[in-house]
Amino acid sequence: MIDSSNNSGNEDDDKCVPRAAVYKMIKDCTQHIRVSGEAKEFFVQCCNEFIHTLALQANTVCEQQTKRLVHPDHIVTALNNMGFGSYKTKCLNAMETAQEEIAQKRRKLHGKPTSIYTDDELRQKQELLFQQAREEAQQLEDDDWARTQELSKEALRKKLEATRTDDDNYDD
Amino acid sequence: MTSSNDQIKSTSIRSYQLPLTKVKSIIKLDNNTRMISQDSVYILTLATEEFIRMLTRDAHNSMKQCASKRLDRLHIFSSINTNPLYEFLDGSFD
Repeated sequence: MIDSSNNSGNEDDDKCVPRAAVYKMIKDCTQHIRVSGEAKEFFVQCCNEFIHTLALQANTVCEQQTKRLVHPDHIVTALNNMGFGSYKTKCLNAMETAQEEIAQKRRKLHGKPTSIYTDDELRQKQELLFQQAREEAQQLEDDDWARTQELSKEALRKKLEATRTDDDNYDD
Repeated sequence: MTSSNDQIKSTSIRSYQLPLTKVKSIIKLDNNTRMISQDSVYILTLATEEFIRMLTRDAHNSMKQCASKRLDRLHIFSSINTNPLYEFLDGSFD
């Protein structure tokens, strides 16, 4: 017999569905009915046993299909094998809904960042910026060239100055 | 109850009451089990929840038949012995 009064913290407690969750589910089904503590504990044990058995069955189905990862299909087949085929619809429906939700959220996260401009407008703006950059670069180049010109004219002028000074002696 | 491994956050549409990580660790207790996908854990959890509801209803019926005022372990036993679906539970508790 299960010692339902055993509340010691043995390692099995870690591998057990949380009692509170199970109690709540039972309560939802039996709202005005009192349920004994022993019965609650027993429900938890049955729960664990169900998980073990279903998982084992699904594992077998998976092996038979020579797959390495247990898929929801295997779980569904296992449920059928165990006689719980009636669960199939509910489980699959819930899963489909959940998957749709995930897909929606994913689309939101990875979609393009929103902009107040259309693609064409953005392209035009970009072209405008390129044009401005080209003009500025050209301007810099022109300025540079003009500066160089100035400097060499200056140098030439000074040279001429120096030469003329000698000639001045003859003009007197 | 959600867990860090749960990529499907609990929403109003998708609801489950048993924590997925706990269920997964129970599955992993058996050394022979293969890798199991998260979706599979989710479906398994849902099936388990459905199982609890079913067993509770059956035990409740047993209780009514006994004209008891309180749902006791015996009523669950009675359901297990009556319904062939619960045969897998038979050898586990003596």
